[in-house]
Amino acid sequence: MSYLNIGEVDAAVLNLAAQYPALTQLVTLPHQSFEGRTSHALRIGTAGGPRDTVMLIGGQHAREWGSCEILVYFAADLLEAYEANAGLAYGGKTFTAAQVEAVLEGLHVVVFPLVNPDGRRWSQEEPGEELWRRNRNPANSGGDPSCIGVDVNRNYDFLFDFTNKLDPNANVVVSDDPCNSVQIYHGPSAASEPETRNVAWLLDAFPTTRWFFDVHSAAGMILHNWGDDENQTTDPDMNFRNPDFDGVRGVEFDTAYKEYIPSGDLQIQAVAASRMQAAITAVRGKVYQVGSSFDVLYGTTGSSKDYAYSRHLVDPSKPKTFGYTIEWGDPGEFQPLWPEMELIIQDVSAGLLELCVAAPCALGLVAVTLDTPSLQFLDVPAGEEAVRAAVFTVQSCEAVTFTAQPPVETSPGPATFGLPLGAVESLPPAPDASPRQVRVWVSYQAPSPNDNSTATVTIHCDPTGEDYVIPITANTIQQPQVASVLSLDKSGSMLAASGIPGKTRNDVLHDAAPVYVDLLPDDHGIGIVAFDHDAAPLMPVTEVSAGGGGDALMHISSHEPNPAGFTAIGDAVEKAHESLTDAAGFALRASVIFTDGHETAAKYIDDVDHLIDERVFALGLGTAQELNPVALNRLVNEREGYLLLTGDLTGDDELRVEKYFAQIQAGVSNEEIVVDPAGAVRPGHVHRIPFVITEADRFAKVLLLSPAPWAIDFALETPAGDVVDAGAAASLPAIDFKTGERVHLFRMTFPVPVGAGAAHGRWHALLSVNEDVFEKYLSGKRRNRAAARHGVPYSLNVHALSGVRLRASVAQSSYEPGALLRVRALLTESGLPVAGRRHVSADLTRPDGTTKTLTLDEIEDGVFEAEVVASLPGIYPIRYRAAGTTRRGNPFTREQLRTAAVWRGGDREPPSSSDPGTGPRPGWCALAECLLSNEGVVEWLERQKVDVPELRRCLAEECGDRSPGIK
Amino acid sequence: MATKKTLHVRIEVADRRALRALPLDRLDVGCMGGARETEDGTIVLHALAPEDVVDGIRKTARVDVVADMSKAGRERQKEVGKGNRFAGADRVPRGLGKKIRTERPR
Repeated sequence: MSYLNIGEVDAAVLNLAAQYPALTQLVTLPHQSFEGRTSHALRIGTAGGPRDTVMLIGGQHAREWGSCEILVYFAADLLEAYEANAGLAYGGKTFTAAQVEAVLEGLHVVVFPLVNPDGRRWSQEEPGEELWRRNRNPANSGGDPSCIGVDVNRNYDFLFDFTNKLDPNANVVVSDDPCNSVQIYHGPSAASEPETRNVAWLLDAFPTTRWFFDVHSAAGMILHNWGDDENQTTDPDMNFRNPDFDGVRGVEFDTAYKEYIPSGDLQIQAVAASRMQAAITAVRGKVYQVGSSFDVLYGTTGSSKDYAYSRHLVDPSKPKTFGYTIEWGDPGEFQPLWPEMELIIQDVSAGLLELCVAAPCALGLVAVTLDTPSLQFLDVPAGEEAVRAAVFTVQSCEAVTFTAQPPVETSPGPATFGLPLGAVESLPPAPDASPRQVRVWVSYQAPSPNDNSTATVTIHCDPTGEDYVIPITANTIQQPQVASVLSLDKSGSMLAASGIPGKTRNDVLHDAAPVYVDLLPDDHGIGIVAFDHDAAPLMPVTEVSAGGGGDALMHISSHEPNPAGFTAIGDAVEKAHESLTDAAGFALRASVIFTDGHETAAKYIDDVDHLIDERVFALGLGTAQELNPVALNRLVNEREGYLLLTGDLTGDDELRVEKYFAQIQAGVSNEEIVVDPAGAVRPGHVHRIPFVITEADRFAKVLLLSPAPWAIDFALETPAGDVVDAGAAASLPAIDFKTGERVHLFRMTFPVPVGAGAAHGRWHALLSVNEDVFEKYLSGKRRNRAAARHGVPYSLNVHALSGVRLRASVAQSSYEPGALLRVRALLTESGLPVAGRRHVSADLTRPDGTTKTLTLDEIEDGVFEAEVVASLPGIYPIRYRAAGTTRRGNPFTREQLRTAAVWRGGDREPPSSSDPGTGPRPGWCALAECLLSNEGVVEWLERQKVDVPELRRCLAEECGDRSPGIK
Repeated sequence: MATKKTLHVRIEVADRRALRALPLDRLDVGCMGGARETEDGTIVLHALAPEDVVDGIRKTARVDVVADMSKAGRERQKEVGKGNRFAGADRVPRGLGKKIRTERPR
């Protein structure tokens, strides 16, 4: 025997594939070499389902001839031994037939023995060129034969741009000079060479490759990742992807940079290399050196083994592949005498087979990496509970259990750290050692603002016995203040009847919009915009306690429609955005639009949509047909808000718009709605309305909406039975009582210092009416005495700032009748969806007044969904109701209202200024022009107190050049 | 590229400063093990280099010629197979491991 030429290497692969068709798959690599050669690889293993792959490549460096022979004869050994039901012996190292069988039946072994055929041919055949290392690509040689070729094993996409990625003094063996005399030119770009692309392609083609070996000579080493710098296991951010470390990598013995490798991966790599080393030594006593290639060999970039391992870090959808380089033989012995080469083939075959035998189940190890060396709770709003996970990655087939001790606070202070989901997390046994993650959750109950706390949590791993001590840092901030702007419609249609007897739409606005202002916390900001076909800010965003609340109420009460006004919602959204942008000192921003009609004038929502980055909520007064709210719905849904539509109002809907404003205010302030029952209370009766406060609620508002809240005696009863009325609240800290025209409310921060301290548990709102006051109520202006005799109507709403949150949404497949409504709710506690302790339903009211209760299925942890078809045109109010228990086992309720709407023509595209078909039709403009040229019409309009010049200006703006006579 | 005689040399220098003083851009260390520190603190490096480069570094380092790689390479090229020993689909390579026959059932 002697060394194989390149034709023999390829023929060996083809013939093994032909000889063992049931045990092999011939793989034709897609990229031909510069000299036109096609390469082949062989996949070895019995047929069967997906399994881990061990990939072996060789012959990247032309002069290292024996690498190809090692892989060809190793493949032949595996196939021959398996077919003969035989074991294998290499010198003093033996493998049983059962072990060979387990390899071929439990793994795929992919062998690609000759990556660089052109270079090998050159090295083997050209006199004086036996030490050729590169491929034979002349593209960058400039015609100089000595500059031909690229070092394939510096051409992979791993820190390829070494001149920028590494320190200028880095200890690396790589060059960007094609003519460097030591043959280490890395090529013009990453993966520029067909040989490199073939290996990358092979890794893609075998996505279960868990182990990758690149066989080289000559140094007697087994090298694992990394090659660009020393390894470190403590700082995940110090890694090859992080540009902050560009220019500092690759210097040995320094502390500026070391390449991160998870401790579990390093453990597996090192143990695998040691087992291979022992197997090699058992053959005939050769001791291969083991370690990372940077430590043991020298620094490199663009190498195959680092590329193989880096792939899953660059693209998490790719599998983790441990990368190795084997440097067989003694230093410098690239082409030993053939008898010695035969011994080396046996040495390395023993090492490779040992790895293949041990490869399943991560060599039998329990390899654990702590992915979160510290836990940080940064800028948690005071009063909130936040949770973070200590994350471990486990690579093992064994069951593993993590047990946490309660966190120990290391700084003085009132902060509370806990284990909200318990102290024990376990993984069951697994059929393979694919990485699995375990999360142990730690909670932090933020006390007062500006708290800084530190703690540690110790987590014990069984069976490794290791204790992980994880430092925790936390700090708190004030509850974020919210700036919001109310944009109020003053188009002519606001003068129309609302449906509530005796009230125009503008009257409804006057009644309801103050509720929004009355509910604002004192430190939040409020601004007002009024709009018709133009928009104007009436007041800038001003803190409520700095006069903003009073000013806003004044602007609402003086808000009057323009009879000739059109509706330009885009203008309103834009002006509100500008006001919010100008408002300094607020952490959150929200825009609230009140409108009663569809868009009839520019700017349209579509014109300004791209500007808007605040949350947007909207309240539509009217029917779906009138509001045609496609663009508005799209706007709010994409800005974390929602749209509520009232539909036709009647005399029974006196509080509907107030309730909608109250809910939107809760949404703007990130408050949860605990309950919102409605009723009417008469003299001689006490309505005792229960509501539950949980330990996750830190602040609550109990608000009584009513046309005459002054007529109702309103008090609260604590879980212990103590009663707090308005007078008591005035003398207590942590609770106050506030009044508005149509709302009275208690505001409480828990615990309320009543009795032993009132906090979580079942509270009650107590409502009653005094006979004399009721008479006064009945005699009120515009009061329908017959209807009013049923009692003083009210809606009781409880809002809470809470860790238990319900996020409701409804998605429509269309706005036409027949649309599918996907009703969805997300329930979380401290940001974590928690399964199995909740129930969510939704009461859907159809346009014809019939109702349907939907039970939402929990489709994943904390996510609930149901679907229903909206077959009738109109508005579908959907009231979400959630009930369950907190992690500590206490009951809670949550409610939310959303509306969906379908109407004929609903799927027409909303208007846009970029659409030439948008705006008044030319014929319509011509008619307006004709009418305004008639003196009789103009006189009649003036008798109706219509501002004709203003009307002309409006029409001219809309019709422009189409009807110049309007001006 | 290899018109001059190329030698495999073992270079020993006193410390890393002396190592950096070597003409490293002319020493082909590819896949040869890198610089290793010995127990006495000296640094040992295996490299391939043309004869004239080797002569140059003898002034600052201890140099042992391990092999004349040009000569060895020429000899080894003669050992490369001629033709194709696997011509014909039934000509498969045989591995070098000893097959240990068993009677165990599969």
